[in-house]
Amino acid sequence: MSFALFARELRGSLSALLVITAVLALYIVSIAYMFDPEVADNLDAVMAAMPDLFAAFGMANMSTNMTDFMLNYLYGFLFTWVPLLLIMMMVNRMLVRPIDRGSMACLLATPASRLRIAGSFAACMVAVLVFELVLIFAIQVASAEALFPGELDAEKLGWPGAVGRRRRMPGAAVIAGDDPGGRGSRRAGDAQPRHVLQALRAGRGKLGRRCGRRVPGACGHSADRRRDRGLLSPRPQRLGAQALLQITGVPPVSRGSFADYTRTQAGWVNRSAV
Amino acid sequence: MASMTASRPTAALIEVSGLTKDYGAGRGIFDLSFDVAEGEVFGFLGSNGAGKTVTMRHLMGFIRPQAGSARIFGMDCFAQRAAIQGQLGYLPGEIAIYDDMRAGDYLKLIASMRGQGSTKRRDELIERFELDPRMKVRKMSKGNKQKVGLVCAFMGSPRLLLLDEPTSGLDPLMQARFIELVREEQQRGATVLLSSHIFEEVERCCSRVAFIRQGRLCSVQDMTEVKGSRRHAFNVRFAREDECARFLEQHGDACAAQRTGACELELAADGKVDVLVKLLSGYEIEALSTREQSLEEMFMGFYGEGGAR
Repeated sequence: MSFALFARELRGSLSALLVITAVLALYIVSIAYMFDPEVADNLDAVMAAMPDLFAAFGMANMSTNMTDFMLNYLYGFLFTWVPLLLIMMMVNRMLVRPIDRGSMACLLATPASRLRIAGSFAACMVAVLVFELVLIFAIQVASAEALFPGELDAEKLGWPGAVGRRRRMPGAAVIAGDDPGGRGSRRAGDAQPRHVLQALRAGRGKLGRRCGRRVPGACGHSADRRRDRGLLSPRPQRLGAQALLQITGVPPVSRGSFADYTRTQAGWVNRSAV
Repeated sequence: MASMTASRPTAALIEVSGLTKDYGAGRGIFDLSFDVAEGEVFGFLGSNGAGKTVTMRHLMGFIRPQAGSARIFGMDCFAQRAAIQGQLGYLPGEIAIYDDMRAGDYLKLIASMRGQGSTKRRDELIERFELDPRMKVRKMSKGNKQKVGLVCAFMGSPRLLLLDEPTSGLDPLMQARFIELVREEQQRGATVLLSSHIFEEVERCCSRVAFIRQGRLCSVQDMTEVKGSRRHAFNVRFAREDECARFLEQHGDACAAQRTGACELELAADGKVDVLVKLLSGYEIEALSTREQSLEEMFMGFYGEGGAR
């Protein structure tokens, strides 16, 4: 392998790598966002109730945790076309174009054998691919941890060391807020500032509906439609509302549900108190 | 290998025998055989499409011969390409350089692939050809790219140089510097094989020349021999028509005169320029010019009207 040639080609492949990674990051985050733990729990319950029906469709061992969700949606796709696309782009850049234009003659006019030149190219392609896969993995873990802390069994995905419940990535922890409880955060009373952001992102929340107007900045319909199809959890809206109420000094809503509260001129009041 | 050639300094560095590559429709090279001795500057002369570049590509080990063999330093050009390239400098005819690089970076890449540590010779050549190494190759003119190619070929001080139409795209000043460089390399002891379709270029630096036509070798001659047998054609414009007619009548046959205008003649001197000038002194001449003999005419000169066969 010629290191000079390897370095040149590696530098040349960087821009393609960055563009693909940027597009992938967008895709991965949106897939991770589509995961709904409650739907998964419901499905588990249905499966437990009608094991025969699921077995009839070959779905007896269907898993509903986030790890498998990510595996199904992402890996079948990412691990086929991303390496293919990258390899095609690199082969075109390193071999096809230089041979076509004649600049390959410059490399062959050196004491490097054909094998050594091809070996440098192959090493560069492998290095770029490995780097890309590491990036894909890191983006997956980071987005899953940020959106649904603790849901992802990163170890099962191949991450060295336990990243899942106990040792989350530092970046993910910052985005997610400190939440050692994992799924426990879905319980009422654990509302945190990040849930406000999630509520805004998820569109019109229960809070907005109760107030008879949309939450400012929310994008609305698409999230509603997704929720209708069972794709989107109502969880972010509820937690977001709780968080807002806490921040604005309204009594905590950790006991009971929204249905127990009503809005009066004095603010949010428990129905039983009215 | 090195000790063998050292003990025989005049051994053939390049041996081509029976080299054939047929691309069909009369294109390619056929049964080409010639030797180039160490320390020689060898010219390879032929018109466009005669097979010069195909021969060069065989010598570089880019293509496999259909028949015959090409050997450099006693090694097979295709099978042992990598070993040969260590002591070889090459300038491709169609210069194609990685055009996303700066000239300096490109030279650095090639130098490191060749394992050349010192940049002294490279910097010298860059200065000599007035090249800007910071310039992107994509933005360079044909002549500047040619300069990068030349620096690349010469920077390793190789034992053998294969130069395919080296002066194409260069301005006259740079052409002169190139010829000066070839002479210096010859004094250093390097062997040079230089292909061209311009006789003057070969004439100025080569000691021996091979003529190739339609893929076949016509002859290999010493440059002094070629110069002696070279035809000179003169265009003469007489002051008046009757002067012209008088010359044609008296000396027309001796000079193989051909009428090209009302009072213009083209005369062939055939190496006897002195005689012709003395003949012309008896007439009133308005203008006199020489015409460069084309390659085809030169081949005719060797082989008569039947062409180079």
